[in-house]
Amino acid sequence: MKHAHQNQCLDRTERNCSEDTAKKLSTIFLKYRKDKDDLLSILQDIQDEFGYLSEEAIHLLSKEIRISENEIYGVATFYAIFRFEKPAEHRITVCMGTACYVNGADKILDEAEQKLGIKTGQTTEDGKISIGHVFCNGCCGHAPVVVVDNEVSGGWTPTKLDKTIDKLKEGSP
Amino acid sequence: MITINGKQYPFKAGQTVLEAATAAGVYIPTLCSHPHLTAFGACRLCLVQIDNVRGLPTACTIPLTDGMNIRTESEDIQRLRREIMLLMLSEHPYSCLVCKDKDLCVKYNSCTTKAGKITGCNLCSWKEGCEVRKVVDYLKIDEITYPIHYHDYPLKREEPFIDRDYNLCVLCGRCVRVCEDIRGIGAIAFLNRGHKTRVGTAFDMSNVEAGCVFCGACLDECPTAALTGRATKWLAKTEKRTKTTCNFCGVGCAMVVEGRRSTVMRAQADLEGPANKGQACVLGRFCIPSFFNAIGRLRYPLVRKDGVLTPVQWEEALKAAADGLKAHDPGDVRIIISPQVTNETAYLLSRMSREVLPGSIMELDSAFDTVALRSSRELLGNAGSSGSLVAINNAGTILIVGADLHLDHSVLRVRINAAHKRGAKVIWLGPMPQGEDRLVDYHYPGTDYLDKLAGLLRKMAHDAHNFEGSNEFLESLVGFKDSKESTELAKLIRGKSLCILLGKGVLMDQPEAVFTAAYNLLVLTRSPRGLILLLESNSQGISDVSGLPTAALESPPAAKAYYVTSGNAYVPKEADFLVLQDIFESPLMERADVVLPGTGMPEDAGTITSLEGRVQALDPIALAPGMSKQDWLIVAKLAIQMGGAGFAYDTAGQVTEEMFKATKVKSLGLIAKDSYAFKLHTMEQPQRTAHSSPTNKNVHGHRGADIVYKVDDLRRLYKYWGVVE
Ligand code: SF4
Ligand code: SF4
Ligand code: SF4
Ligand code: FES
Ligand code: FES
Repeated sequence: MKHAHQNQCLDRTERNCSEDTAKKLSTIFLKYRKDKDDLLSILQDIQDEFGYLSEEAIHLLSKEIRISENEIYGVATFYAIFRFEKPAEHRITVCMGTACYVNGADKILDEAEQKLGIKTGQTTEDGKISIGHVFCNGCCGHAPVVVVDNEVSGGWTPTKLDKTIDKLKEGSP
Repeated sequence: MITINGKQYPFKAGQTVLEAATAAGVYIPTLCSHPHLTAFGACRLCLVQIDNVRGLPTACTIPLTDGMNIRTESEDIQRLRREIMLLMLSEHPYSCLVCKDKDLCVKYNSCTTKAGKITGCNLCSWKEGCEVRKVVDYLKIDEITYPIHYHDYPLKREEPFIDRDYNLCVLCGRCVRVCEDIRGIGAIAFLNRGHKTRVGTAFDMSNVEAGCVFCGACLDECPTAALTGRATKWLAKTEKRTKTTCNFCGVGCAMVVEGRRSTVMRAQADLEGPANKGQACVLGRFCIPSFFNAIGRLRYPLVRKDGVLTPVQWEEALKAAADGLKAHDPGDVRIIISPQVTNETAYLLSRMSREVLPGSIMELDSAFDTVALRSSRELLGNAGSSGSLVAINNAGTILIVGADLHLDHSVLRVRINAAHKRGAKVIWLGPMPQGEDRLVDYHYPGTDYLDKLAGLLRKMAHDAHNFEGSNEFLESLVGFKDSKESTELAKLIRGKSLCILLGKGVLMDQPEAVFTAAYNLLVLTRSPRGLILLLESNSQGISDVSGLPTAALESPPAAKAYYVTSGNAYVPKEADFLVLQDIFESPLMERADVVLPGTGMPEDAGTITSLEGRVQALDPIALAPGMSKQDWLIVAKLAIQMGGAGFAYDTAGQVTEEMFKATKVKSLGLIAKDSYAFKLHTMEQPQRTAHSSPTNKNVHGHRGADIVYKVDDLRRLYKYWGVVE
């Protein structure tokens, strides 16, 4: 009989869970009983701490409260508040509402997509910048409007966005 | 009394309305309920009308009360049901369901078997069993008024064994519930909400990564073809089906198998199986067809001529085998019995050994089973488990020692899981496979089984208020140490009924002593029925009908002639005559003088006995391949050839009958176990000698083959698990 089975899924258990992550998680776990009823609160704490629910976090949580990862993930996906991907360092949100659209928002979004080589809703591979779009920010007078890292401003052009992206890439907003 | 649709039926407490109606033969459409699962009330198709109950309750959830007046059909109900189905079908490929040529199509234009994605019933492999079709027919739906909402989910066909097409899923949740509630795995779950709800895995991992063990339970629950068995779904529909017993391990799962000519085509767990109750494992559910139909089956008798194995007729082969064996002194003949042969074969082999070759030695070809059966005979007076599998269900503490329940005896997890849910504590000694941590409460990884159990024994004996055992017993424990672990274990075990599952991992330690310690623990916890030996296929039955294993010999004399029923048996190089009776080609053939082709489980008749001592029948579904014959018949013919008398039988049934008269196996069913000795046994002092690990390197040795190397998907799975290279 071979008990190599023991090392099965080593690649699973060792989901590159950094010690730091594990430490932070165990602080969170300490606050709760190991109970199904606490699941949502624990998930919220994890998201508050890391900004999203990672595979490692759900894996370790599953071990902690003895609910399968799949069930935890199922519960989490039921609520719109949870994210499963690491948020980008910087977020560019182009407004595509009517006022902004007629003022050329589509060209601005195009520029962002082309320059970064990603589509709206995605994040660059290095995790630096993500682009998204919304429909109306409620400040149509300034159209076209773009939100960069929570800062709303108007009067954008493709060239301006181009420069902003360069700056974000260098690291200074 | 209750009334259903105007007719009176007796009232039975504890039933749901749905159960009562089903028992009365009244059809109520359902999709999300299943007799094995707790009611869920999700599909809402089972709506009924009950006097004095508000609204239209779901029959599957509402308990029956005396005097209820139930109506299962009315204009209102049918209209609502139709509405529900229409909504459901707007997401399901429905064109065929409502096609006006449906009846003709079924008759003249059946499945296009090469279709990838199922876009209608005519391309679906599960047409005959589909429950959606049944409901649609019942509700006479012939038009769908809602717009189509086909999800176009990608097919999942890259996993072992199971194809998944969630475009067909009706979200009944039966798969999710069986996987979590019954199997205790939780490999799948409902994801998202609302219109986007679907069944899947965390982060869309592959099912292998998500912890699936491919037991197939979800597939058997699914009312649609969302889940299908890849290897067999497109095989022809049944010509023949029968009930038989899986002999891949010792649990003794009852199976329903289908076959045609010499091919076994499908195997599914029998809902009424006493050991498995509708559950099976990856081996029984998926590997029976793939393994027995695999290449390398022996089809002709072979005799070595001028150094070359040559196909011959049976007469010639039997004569060569008989002459060769007879040429030796019977004392120099060794008969090695594979755990996979039937009781009948073993019975005839033991008669042959006694009557035709008196003085020959028989051996059971399984290291663990030999020790386990021998020890239990010495301790209990009877070889085998001391209780039936119910012991698991009833235990307060379940102690699993040296086992790997993902690989072997997997269906026992279902009982352990049920007991665990009920509150039983599960303790695991020895290496534990990944994925068991939700089932197991306490895990002690070392393989020093004896130290742990004996330490525990000592702790419990010392702590007992009025210890009834002898001083001699206490003294025999002196050599063992108390440890932190034994104190912990004692706390967990004390005062609860105990069930101990012993697996072949104990071979790494001192197995006999481990058995004695385990048995003493059961005496101390007053759990006489708690010993479960995790035996291979039919070792229990072979032991019952042949008296094997015989008392241990210090060093058994080497034999000169061998008659073995498995190519995995150990035959020394010096042996000068070898008869190999097997079902697959094996390396041992290189040294065989005569090769006799036997039959596997789907082709075999007779009986086998499970590890709990349950005698169950094998019913052949497939013809023996080529010229091969059922093993009992080969043994009988060989015995006759060697001059044995009373070996002329026409059917396996005649052997069974004689065996029921001549051995302690008296009938089908559970062997009575009331004659067990129940007392403490003194422990041998521990020997600090290194123990060799078992020599058999197979994962799932079955006669001369290994299932893992005959079934590609199993190998893929085990490769991921790190069990094979
Ligand atoms: S095969 Fe078994 S373990 Fe895998 S998802 Fe289905 S029920 Fe769960
Ligand atoms: S896959 Fe099958 S069993 Fe599972 S929810 Fe869908 S229809 Fe039901
Ligand atoms: S648990 Fe054993 S008897 Fe049951 S299906 Fe699996 S291999 Fe066969
Ligand atoms: S449309 Fe862009 S802010 Fe209103
Ligand atoms: S069968 Fe009753 S709600 Fe589905």
